[in-house]
Amino acid sequence: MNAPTFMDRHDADLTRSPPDEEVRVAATSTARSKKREPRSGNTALDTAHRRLIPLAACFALGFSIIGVRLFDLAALQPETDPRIANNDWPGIVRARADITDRNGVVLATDLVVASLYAEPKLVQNAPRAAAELAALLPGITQPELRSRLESGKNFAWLKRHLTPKEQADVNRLGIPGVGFQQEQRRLYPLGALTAHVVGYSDVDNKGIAGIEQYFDNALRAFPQSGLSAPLKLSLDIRVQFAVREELLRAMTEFRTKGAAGIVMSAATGEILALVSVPDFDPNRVGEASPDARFNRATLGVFEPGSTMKVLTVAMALDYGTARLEKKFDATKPIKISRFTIHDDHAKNRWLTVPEVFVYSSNIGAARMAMEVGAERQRDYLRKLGLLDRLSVELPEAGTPLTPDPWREINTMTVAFGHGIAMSLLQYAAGFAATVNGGFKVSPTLLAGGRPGVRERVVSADTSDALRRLLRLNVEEGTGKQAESAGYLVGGKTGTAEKAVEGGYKKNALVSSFVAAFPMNDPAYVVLVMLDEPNGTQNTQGFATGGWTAAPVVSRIVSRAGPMLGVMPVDDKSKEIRSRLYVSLDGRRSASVGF
Amino acid sequence: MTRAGIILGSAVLVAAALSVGVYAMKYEVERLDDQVVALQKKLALQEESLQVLEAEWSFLNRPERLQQLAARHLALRPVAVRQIGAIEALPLRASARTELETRTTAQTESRVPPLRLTPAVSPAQATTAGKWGVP
Repeated sequence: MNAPTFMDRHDADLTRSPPDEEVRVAATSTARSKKREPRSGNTALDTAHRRLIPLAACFALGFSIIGVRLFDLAALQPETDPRIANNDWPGIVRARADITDRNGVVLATDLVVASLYAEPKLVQNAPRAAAELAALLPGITQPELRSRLESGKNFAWLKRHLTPKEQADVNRLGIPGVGFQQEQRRLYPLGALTAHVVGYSDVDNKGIAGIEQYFDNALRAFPQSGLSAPLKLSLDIRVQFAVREELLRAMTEFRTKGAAGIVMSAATGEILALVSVPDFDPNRVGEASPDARFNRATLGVFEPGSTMKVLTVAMALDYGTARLEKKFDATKPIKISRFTIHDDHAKNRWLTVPEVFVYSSNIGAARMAMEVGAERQRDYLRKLGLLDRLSVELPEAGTPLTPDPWREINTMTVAFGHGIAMSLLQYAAGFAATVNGGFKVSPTLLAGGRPGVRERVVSADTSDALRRLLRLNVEEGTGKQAESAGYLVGGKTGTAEKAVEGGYKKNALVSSFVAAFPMNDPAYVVLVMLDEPNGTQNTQGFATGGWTAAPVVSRIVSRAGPMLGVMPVDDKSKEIRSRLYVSLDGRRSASVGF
Repeated sequence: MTRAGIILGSAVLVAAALSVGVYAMKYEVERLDDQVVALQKKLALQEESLQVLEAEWSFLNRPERLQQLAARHLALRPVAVRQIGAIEALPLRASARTELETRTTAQTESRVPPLRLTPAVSPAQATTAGKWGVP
């Protein structure tokens, strides 16, 4: 019964409602028309009064609100401070944000300085003014000043960034039409120490090199951008100083054209020190030679030489084409087309992988790479990030030179680091992946490293084997001079003749040493490169990596180790032996031979 | 006086009082405003000096300069590996060791006399040890 009732009512509503509405509308219209006609005895004045009442009420309400507020302001004590006092203090206007190292040491900051300008139209005695100013301001000649003062323009800079003394002197002259403009000037308190990383900016505060250029927009958008704090780099100024000092010492000792050094965290790729000498004072860039401004650590590309064998061994172990015990035929040089590949310290016999590594056998490395094949070799190097342009927060990032086409001969030469060239930093990152347990490393100059997932590029077992090989090479191989007691340095030498057009330049070497420490759990990678070193009496005339670059690494590790909080260990202890031992015939067990 | 007159009079009085209050307040606000501007100027000056001082701090703390000063005024040298140790590697304090020994002797009931404790650094060494690097 329920449903029909509802339906009935619903139906009824539907049918009835339209007429209902009509009726209502009609009624309203009649009511309104009645109101408009004052026929019931009231005068027009009464109507006007009645209509005024709502209006008066509105005014009364408005005035009472004002009155109450007035009373509140004048008679009652304000309980809260006026809001204006809480307005954020915007701070002084700054051209660029500061740049600091990882510990907050200021590397670049702004200073307020005065610049001298003229309004030539207002200058009365230009020749005299020019003479007087030229006497006080070094770096600008009298004729130049005069031509600017007589230019008839509305505005001309005379000299930017005066010293306080110059400003006072010029001020005392009281020349009409000449004035000072307050400006922000970039200052690099540490001078040349971080020149190649921080870079520099021009007179208009535009970054034109290094971090200053790479992050120019972000630094200038300060404080509007999210960059409210200074830009914090990954550099550690103490380590940077130690590296630079040791490089300069090596540069003098071996009379090199230049040198470069890198200290990098093996796990995160954070760069703690990046030095390229000769360098320059970024406060006086104008005086720097192009050579001094050239960043040998990131922009320059070099043939790595034998340090490349680290990656060749890693590759062969990873693809399973070699085990540590496997032997390679190094009985005689390899002849391929018009080239001959021979060994510097030829053993003329079959060599195990550790022997190829420790004796730095080119023949062995070439054979090892041939078994892997060109295709896989290229894939492997690409995976480690060595074939594409270096990715780091610097505009000065070098692009590697790679063989094209990648023939058999290239596979062989690349195996021992010839016929391929890359920047030092790029090689350091590739090397780091082989010792840090096998994870890809993206070098970065920002504190905290780059966020992202850890990508495995080398197997854990291969990484373990390489740690042992690198340590063995320092204990008994060509890297002996890199040893730094207690810090378990492991590394590989590299010596490459400089490639010039159509061949190699004899006696122009690039000697390098790549290392990591402490080798039982590598925390830092150290890479040192000397550009054209000359042998000395101390090195018995040798200019190779083992004689020149390795001692530099040793000194850097000894100095940086305590700063970086690396705990020295006893390298003869059982635990360390078992983790780092490998025999020349490729056995990792420490029980044999000890 | 009519009632309307009283109301009007008091209203005028109230209005006058309020005006005086508002007047005073307006000037108070202006004074505070000047104060804010003055303070902000001061702040700007302070911040500028802060900037200069920070730059100077960094400049005076150049590792190069510190090294020169240290070489001239201090008898310190870089830390050698043998000078670095872990807390765990330290020998027990004398009192703690004696206690430990008496306890172990009591347990084993052995008649071995407790070890004579010799200081790790002899007094002669201790005086020179103040200057690191002196053999």
